[in-house]
Amino acid sequence: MKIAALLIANLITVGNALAAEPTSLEILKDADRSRGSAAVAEGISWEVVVHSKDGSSENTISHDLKVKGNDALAEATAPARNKGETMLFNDRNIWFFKPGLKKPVAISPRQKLMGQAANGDIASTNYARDYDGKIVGSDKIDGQDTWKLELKAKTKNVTYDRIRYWVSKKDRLGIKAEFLTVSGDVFKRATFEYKNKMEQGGKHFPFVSKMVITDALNANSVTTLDYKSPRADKHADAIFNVNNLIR
Amino acid sequence: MKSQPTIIQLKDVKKSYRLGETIVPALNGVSLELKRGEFTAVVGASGSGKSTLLNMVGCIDDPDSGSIMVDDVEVTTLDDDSKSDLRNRKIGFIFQSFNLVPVLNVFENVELPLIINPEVPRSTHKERVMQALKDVGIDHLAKNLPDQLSGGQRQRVAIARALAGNPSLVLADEPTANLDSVNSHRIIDLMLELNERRAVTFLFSTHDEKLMDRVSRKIHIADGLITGSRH
Amino acid sequence: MNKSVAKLAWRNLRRNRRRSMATGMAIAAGFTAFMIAAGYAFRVERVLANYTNYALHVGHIGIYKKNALEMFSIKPNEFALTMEEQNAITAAVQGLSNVEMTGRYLTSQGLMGNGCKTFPFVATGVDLSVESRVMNHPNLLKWNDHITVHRYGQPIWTFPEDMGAVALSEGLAKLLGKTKIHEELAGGKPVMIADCSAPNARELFGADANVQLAAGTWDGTLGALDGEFVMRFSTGLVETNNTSVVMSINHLQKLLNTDKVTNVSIWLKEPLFMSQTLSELKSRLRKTAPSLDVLPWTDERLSPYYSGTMHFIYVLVGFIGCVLAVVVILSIFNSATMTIIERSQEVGMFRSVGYNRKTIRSLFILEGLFLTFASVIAGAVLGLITMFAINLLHISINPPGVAGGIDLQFAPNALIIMAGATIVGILGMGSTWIAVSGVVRQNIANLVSGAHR
Repeated sequence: MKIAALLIANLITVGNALAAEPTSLEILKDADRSRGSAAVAEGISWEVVVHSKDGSSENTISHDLKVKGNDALAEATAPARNKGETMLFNDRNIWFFKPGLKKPVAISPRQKLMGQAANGDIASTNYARDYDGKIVGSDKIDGQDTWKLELKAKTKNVTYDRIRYWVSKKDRLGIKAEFLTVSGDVFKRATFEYKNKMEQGGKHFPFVSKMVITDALNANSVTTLDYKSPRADKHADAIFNVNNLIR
Repeated sequence: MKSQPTIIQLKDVKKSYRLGETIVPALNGVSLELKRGEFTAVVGASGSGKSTLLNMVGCIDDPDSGSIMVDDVEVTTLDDDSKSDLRNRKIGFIFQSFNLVPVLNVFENVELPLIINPEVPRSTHKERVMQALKDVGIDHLAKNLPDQLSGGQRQRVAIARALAGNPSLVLADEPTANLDSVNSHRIIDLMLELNERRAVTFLFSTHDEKLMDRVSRKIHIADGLITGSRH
Repeated sequence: MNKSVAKLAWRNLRRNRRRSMATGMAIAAGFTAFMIAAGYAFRVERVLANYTNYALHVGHIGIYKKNALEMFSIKPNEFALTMEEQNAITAAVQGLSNVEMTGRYLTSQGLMGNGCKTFPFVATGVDLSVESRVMNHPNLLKWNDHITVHRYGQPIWTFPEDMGAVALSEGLAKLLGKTKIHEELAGGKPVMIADCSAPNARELFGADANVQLAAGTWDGTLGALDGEFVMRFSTGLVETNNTSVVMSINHLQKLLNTDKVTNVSIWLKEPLFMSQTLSELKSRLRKTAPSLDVLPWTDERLSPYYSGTMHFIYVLVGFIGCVLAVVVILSIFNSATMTIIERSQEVGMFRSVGYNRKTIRSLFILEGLFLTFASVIAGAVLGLITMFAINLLHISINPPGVAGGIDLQFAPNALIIMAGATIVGILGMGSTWIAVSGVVRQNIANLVSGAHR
């Protein structure tokens, strides 16, 4: 009787363990951490170099990023004509400012930053906050088992209406994304690399090192975002106040 | 009487009309000669062909066959404009119903044939018209409108109009039909007087036997054929 | 002979006065309607044409990159005119005697902000020196004097270029909360808004005339500039009244980081000779800048409101013209036919005394012509009186594409009246000719005897 009861208890435990697939929200939160949404109390910094190529024309701009919670500040550092241009992300609101302007300008995360990159692409990604996700299946991408998720924007004020997102099961890293219009047409594709490392609470976790975005209709139009030197940092709240943009 | 030249010559002229399904022969082969200066009446019952005969002579209708010579001109071969020209210069018409233009006064009505006659200079119109009116005895009514005239006076205007162009021939179809007997006689007397004075050839149709005493020649017509011609 | 026939024709009009009056009144009424319709159409055409040519900057000739009209909004950088092409156009225009002036134009979309919110805009960048000539052009002021009523503030060309003067459409100014223009806030500094959600935020928007313009630059990044709100205007259309901006072309080029322009507009001294100038320009540019479209302003793509509106109006006037034509034809034909039947014996008399067919026709045609022209004159007088009376009432109407609406005014045009009268005369003659043709061909004997009836 006792043995039977033990056996049954073990079976239930194993069964429970086997049935504990993560939710889409959990998957997205983990993936977001490696793309800038790490809950580091005093803030994170990194640099991002955006390089766009469309046929024969090429452009490169470098930004310094400072992130704290849902706020981010991206300041262009090169080339000289763009130096000082700043984007401030307050939750889902974005402000643009450049030296000499009398007031900042509220802009959209969907607006083109450069090439195929939208303004919302350079700051931290927070799909868990901004999208309703659903696991629709599994795929193998470059030898990795992934969850395939369908994401729908919770509000209009986010970068994309719909995203198809493949997250690796092993590392919970976003490997590939397809960005869709409201009607479901793919207009951009992206792949991600995670060669950077970030520390949080004494532990290291992978951090995005590259995002390559390609125009779905024109394979020659490619924009690459190289993420460099991610690190924990101390940021005062005041730097994320729009009123302090005008110095 | 001195022998005068022939002014009208008809040879075997035939004319018929279609009335619905029926073909009505009006002239059945009429031959006729008229000398210049003759005062001739065509006499016959209604439907005998008098009017048709006058229409042929006056070139206001075309025969089905035969020849018509007016003043040595074969009129059956003329085109419409040439016939109009011939009528204007050589033929005067007097109608049973006068046919005066009501918005023109007496002078203007009489002047009508002269307006389109290129051989009559505009400067001579007044003289000619007044002379014609004088000849018919109504020169004092030159400015009157037709509706201000009596029947006899209107017919005199019509006669003056017929004479204004100095035609060789005057045709009158039942000129007294719409007049009372007194005026009828006056008109015939007038025509006779003009015939003598101006030596104008007159050919007129009538079925009034009482008027026959005045004419120099009578042509009887019946069923589209001339049955007699008496001087 | 003609004088006498004419005299007789004129006298004959008095024979049946009632019929002549009825026929004449029908023609007069029809001609009055035609004159009013034509006077309206002429005025609307002039108003819209000059509004399009000047106020909308279309000019009389527009030069664009090939396919730019379809593709510029999608790929502006690729379908804009380069400096070389602009120089080629300047060189090609040299020596063309019919050219009055040329102007460069640049259009772009972007976002305009007041420090808190942004709203989409569509900007037209203009050559300031040309703009003053265009907006003060006598043709524009003659036909569109209402335009100044729906503008508030000094024109942008009266301000220094470096001030960044912008003119905003009424709707956009309202959305931005810009209740006062620069002059009303003379000397005012930009007012910073610490809390955009504060209850007095809207009031603070109107405390300065400063705006920010942001747009994607043509070399692929984001650009932004300050602007100073100096004038408010109405576009006449709801869809554009919330988004329109006019500013210096240099300022807009700076925002977009380009030296290119969307198009060059050319104004002519004599627009009637546009075809010749267009042809000459095309021929010159074919050699120096072959990838350009040289278009007349009447091209539907350049003047959609003008083309669409006038198409409708021409159809309307054409319809009225057809109705008038039918009225004239039927009235005259009816009147002539009845007259001819009544006077057929008289026609026989005329024929018998030597009047040929041609002269008889002339008689009746002259009668018809006298009646027609007397009626046309009566109709014209009535039409002129009616038009002037309505003009005095200053009734307002709102055709699409015209800012603030226009007064319902009529502009009688001597050429149109004469053309209409001539056409009516020809129709009258034609109708009479047809009516009388039958009787002049009839047998004279039958006419005289009355047997033809």
